[in-house]
Amino acid sequence: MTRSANERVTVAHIGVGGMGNGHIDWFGNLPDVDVAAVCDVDETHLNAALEHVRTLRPGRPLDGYRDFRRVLDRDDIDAITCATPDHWHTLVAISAFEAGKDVYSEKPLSRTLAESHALVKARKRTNRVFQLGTQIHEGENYHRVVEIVRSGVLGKIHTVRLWKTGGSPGLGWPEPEDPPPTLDWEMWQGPAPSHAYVPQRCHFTFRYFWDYSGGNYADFWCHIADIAFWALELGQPTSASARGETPTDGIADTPAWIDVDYEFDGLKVLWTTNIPDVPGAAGRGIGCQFEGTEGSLVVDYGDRVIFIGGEELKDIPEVPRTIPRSPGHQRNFVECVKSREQTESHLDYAHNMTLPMHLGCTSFRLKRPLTWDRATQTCVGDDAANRLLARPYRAPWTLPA
Amino acid sequence: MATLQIALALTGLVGASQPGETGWAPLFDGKDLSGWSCEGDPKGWTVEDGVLVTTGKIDGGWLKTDREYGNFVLRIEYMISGVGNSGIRIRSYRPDSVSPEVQILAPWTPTRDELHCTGSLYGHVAVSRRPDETPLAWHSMGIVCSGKDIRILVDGEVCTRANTDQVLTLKGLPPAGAIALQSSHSGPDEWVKFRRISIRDLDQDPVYVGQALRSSDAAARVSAQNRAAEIGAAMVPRLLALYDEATPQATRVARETLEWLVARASAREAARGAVEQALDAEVDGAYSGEARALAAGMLAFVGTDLSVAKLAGVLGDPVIRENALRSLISIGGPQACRALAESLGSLDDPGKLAVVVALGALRDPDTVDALTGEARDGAGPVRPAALRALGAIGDARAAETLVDASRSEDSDVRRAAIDGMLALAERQGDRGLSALLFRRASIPGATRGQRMRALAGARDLGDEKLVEDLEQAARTLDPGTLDRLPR
Repeated sequence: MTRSANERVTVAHIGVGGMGNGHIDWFGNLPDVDVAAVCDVDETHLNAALEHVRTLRPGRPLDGYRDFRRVLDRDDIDAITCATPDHWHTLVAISAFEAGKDVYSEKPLSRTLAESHALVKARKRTNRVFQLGTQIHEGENYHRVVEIVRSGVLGKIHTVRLWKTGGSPGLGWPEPEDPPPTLDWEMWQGPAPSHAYVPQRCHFTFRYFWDYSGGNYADFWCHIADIAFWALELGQPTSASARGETPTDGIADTPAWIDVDYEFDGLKVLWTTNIPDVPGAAGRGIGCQFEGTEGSLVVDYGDRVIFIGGEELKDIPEVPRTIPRSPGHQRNFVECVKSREQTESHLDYAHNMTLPMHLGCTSFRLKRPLTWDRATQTCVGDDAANRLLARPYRAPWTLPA
Repeated sequence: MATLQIALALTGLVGASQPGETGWAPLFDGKDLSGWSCEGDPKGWTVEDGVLVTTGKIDGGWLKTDREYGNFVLRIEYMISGVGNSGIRIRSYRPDSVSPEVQILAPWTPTRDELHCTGSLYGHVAVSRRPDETPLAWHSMGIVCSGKDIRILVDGEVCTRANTDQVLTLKGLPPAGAIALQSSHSGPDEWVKFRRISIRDLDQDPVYVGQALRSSDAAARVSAQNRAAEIGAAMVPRLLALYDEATPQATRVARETLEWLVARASAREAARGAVEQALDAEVDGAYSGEARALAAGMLAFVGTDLSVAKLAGVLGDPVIRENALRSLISIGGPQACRALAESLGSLDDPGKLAVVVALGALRDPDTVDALTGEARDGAGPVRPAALRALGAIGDARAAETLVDASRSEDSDVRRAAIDGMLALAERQGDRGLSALLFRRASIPGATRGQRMRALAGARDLGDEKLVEDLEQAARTLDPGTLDRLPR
């Protein structure tokens, strides 16, 4: 049964310390969305988020929760958004699917490849709507780049370069301390390995620890890999080979810099932490270069530059506009909640796009190249890599099969 | 500098070369030049009566080791002719970099000042105590390189000390390089002889590398981390000792280094086995619970059935349990599952809960009986966890236990049982049983989410009668269910 287009959608926001405030703003501005609840394991964040929603939606009923499972128990909630740290993304989403909720979840999709696989299966089993929060996807620039690349004006694309400057800071040598009384540290850690509380391991800098995330690389991979996967409809790589270093001036352990070479069918994808020395890349802290037999194109979030036959161009007007434009990333999600159509950054797409990031992290940590077998979804002859790609959960949390 | 102290402790041995001493390797076997290569005329270097000889008649150029050395103690004996001139280059035999030479020179020229005499780092660092320069006699020399510190000893006495950070002309000195002997170059009739050349490569010494991991210099620390990873199993106890120092830097460095070590070993079967044994030995060894937990956790990379017994044996220890379970799940297989199932009888409730959850992740049908016991009688959260684990395994024998528990008065048990029934139904090859479980899961005590999941499952089965019945039930129990169902 499909719900009518003018029906209202009731949303709850889970994880509202950082990016969750973006969710509150985005969804708060959609007139057919009601926000029924916000949830955070930190009371400080929770109270601020309650205030934030009330400012946008004065006088509307709103509840605060510290345990996301109580949010999922509510029958009136249609969809949740998730902006927890990475190590919670999967379990929140699968629990939501199983509770009959649709999910708009922050990137990166998952903390491990095994989580990605579990997500895909659980969504399929429950037939829920999922959108990965890659909001850059909605923009005119990415749509136009897809049209230009697919038009063939660049010839056959043989190399894709992706980059994002900056790596993990060291974060110094802080000692563990008691968690603040407002924070449920045990719940914050959830399925991740347990550790004494250190403020730097928690809010806003958790990303610089393998226990919870994979550093800047894992954070930004999907925003910029998105345009390459979309334009070229890339499948999965056949190999990944990473190099780099970790910080030496603090407790953080994710890459201070990381470069990864990937082989795809007939194509190389090269991730670097430094800006590559290619036309149009200079000055762009994040970017993607398509290098083809007839020309090249550099794209970042909002801008692009094309090099063909010695000319530098902003657009190629002859290339027709064929791809329907997005109504907005969150709007698109809400419409799909109603129509039950696939979102613009749906789970199968997001999983495929995220997979090389997991291989890159694993190759970095093992300090060796990996050969990826697409048929068995395993690294060839590398038990340790396959184990690392499936880090088990900490009890009592369990990853649904 | 603790690393220098260790290095210096070894200099007492300078000149007293004894074959077979631990940690020392001969660089010259007294027979031929294996392990060396020369850049000049090979005939310029000969071996006579166990002694390495080079004369000014044929220019043999620099004779350099095939291997590179960074931190080391070199012992060598030399004799020079009346106006002989030779030397030993260290850490650097590369044309494009700073290349300090420890001078060996007969006292024949007035320019032989302290910056250019025997024992000096020629032109870079002068001797602080002039050594015995008598030609035509054997002398022993020791060269100690430890991080930024270089010490030169002649005849057992320190003659030169250098801190490479404080010598401007040594800026850019590589951290490691070949060691090279200089041919005699002061005249056709002059010569130099070398014998008893041996080296202690400190970068392969677990004690030295263990100390270097504590360096305040980040580059030295990272270098030591890489050396430690190469050393492998012998570093495991030293890394746990470092971890037990319990400062933020010690735990960070120890943990990361152990991960590098284990990662490296995981690609090399012989090293993997040795590292697994070393970790296994420490799981119930002498270090703190936290360090033993670290060792247990690292078996996730390199553990096999050989580690299962040890890991299962520490499940009663709440400090180690989490990591032991993570490794047991990573190892997987029937032996790990059996050990986990057998451990249930001896564990307290938190231990049982964690093991039940692990069995749910491992999904071995042979553990259904053990889990069924906990799914019927488990205390507190153990029972719901066992019900969910049974569902995850997807074995038909668990159906009855799950259906029984779905009638429980306890809402946690009821909910877990229905979750288990749904998971079991979704994994069932037996369509009849799946249909039965989907029907049973759609009861008044179920949540809306559970009823929706049952309906989605029923649609997947393509059982129209079942779908119709479940939709009817949903309409009666909770009309909102149907509004929110996916197509």
